[in-house]
Amino acid sequence: MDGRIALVTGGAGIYGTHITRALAEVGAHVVVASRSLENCEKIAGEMRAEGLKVSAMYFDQGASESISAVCENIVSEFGKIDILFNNAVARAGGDPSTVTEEQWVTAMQVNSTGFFMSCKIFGDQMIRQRSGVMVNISSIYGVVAPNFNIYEGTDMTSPANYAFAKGGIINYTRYAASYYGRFGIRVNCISPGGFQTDQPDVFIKNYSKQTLLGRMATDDDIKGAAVFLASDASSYITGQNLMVDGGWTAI
Amino acid sequence: MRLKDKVAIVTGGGTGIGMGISRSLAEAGARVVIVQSAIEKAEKAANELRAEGHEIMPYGADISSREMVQKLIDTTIEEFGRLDILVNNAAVTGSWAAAPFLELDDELLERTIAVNLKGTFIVSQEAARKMTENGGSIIHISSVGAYAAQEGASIYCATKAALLGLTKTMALELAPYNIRVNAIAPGDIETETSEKVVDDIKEQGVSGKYFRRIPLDRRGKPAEIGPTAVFLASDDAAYITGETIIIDGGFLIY
Repeated sequence: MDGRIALVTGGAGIYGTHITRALAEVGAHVVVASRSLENCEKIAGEMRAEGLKVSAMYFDQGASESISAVCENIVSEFGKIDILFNNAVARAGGDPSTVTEEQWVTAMQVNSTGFFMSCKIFGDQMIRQRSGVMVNISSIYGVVAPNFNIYEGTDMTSPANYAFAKGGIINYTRYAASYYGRFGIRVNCISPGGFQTDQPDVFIKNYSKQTLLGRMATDDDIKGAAVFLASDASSYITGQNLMVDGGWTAI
Repeated sequence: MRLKDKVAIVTGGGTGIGMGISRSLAEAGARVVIVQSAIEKAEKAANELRAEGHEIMPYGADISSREMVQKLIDTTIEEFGRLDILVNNAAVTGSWAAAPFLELDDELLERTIAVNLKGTFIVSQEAARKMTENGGSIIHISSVGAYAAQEGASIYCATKAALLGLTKTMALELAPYNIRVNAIAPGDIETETSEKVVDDIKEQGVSGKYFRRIPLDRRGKPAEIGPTAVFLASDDAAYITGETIIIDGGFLIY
């Protein structure tokens, strides 16, 4: 993907970092962007030290002027945007019994309005180019409901807003694929399963049992799918949601 | 070379989508056994790919015969020493599978089930019995017809939908052996046999009134299916099992 310009929003998070690395490793120049410019700079610096082409930008999906600014900066610096990974998400509030209206509205500003504005602003640029690829990051919880039993013995939960936002991303992927197809722009989605970090052992065990492969997602699991959907290997694929979930949704 | 030293079997691998898959797997470094019911077609494809520098074995077999399939698997292991990847692509398809539901006869009914479902099942079972030792990747070629109605393709669509159920259950039962099972569902792909498919199936009583333009506004090419098979067969898809990738230019999203 030499010469391709990619943006990964929410790039300082776990999946954002892995996606950034995956695209950079196959030759793309990746702009890693989030509200935490400091973390993005750190990631970009580390990857540049390995010889990869990565730069950092400040990006707040909750503010459309920030989205526009990133688009303008990328176009003025590189002349185009080839690949957009909409990976940013706000995890505000908890389950329906505890989430407040204010938390919900705050989350929706990022997850609904902000997500849409990112697609729109970069989509407008891709229309001018008559080319581009968008990949949205949803979740298994955009496809199926969380099984609350897996949180037993922990203080973890799956936020109500997360289901709403991630489900919306999947059908907006189809809408966008249908709309932007005529301009030679493909739009797809990846729905990863849970990534193993420092969760309690009991949760990791409960979760792993619900997958066919018997484990949570780890380091490299999303990288192949990210490169596949961003590259010409998927040139006839649009409007799709690719599950990278170890078989969670197969059962 | 993501599939260096791997060995793959592609049923129906000598023509159309199957040939595109054989070529992509070979280009990724795999040695490929191309299976056709008529061996001449397998040999023709093998010669073409060998000329491009790939290691190919042509093989003639009726995949609905367990005896022939067992011999296919044994010969693959004897010749290439291992089996890592199986792509179940052989199918009664296109104008051959088309007949209005009210008129479809037993011969076409049984032939379609024998190749598309029973054949896929038998090859998968015999291949998986070998793959239990070292793991592997099995890919069924389904169709958009598994999801959307297609005029004059009742039993074809039924067999292709059946493969999605088979994909998930095989994924479940074979996961402990490190065998991943996924499917690819192609849409309208330009091949020799599908070149005049619209005219051909209209001759068989299909009205064509449900044909529609799709978001990417063009037919796909066999070379656009092969890379997905390589992806699913490789470690890049290590956390993907029981999944179906639709390659249809957006046909199904309306």
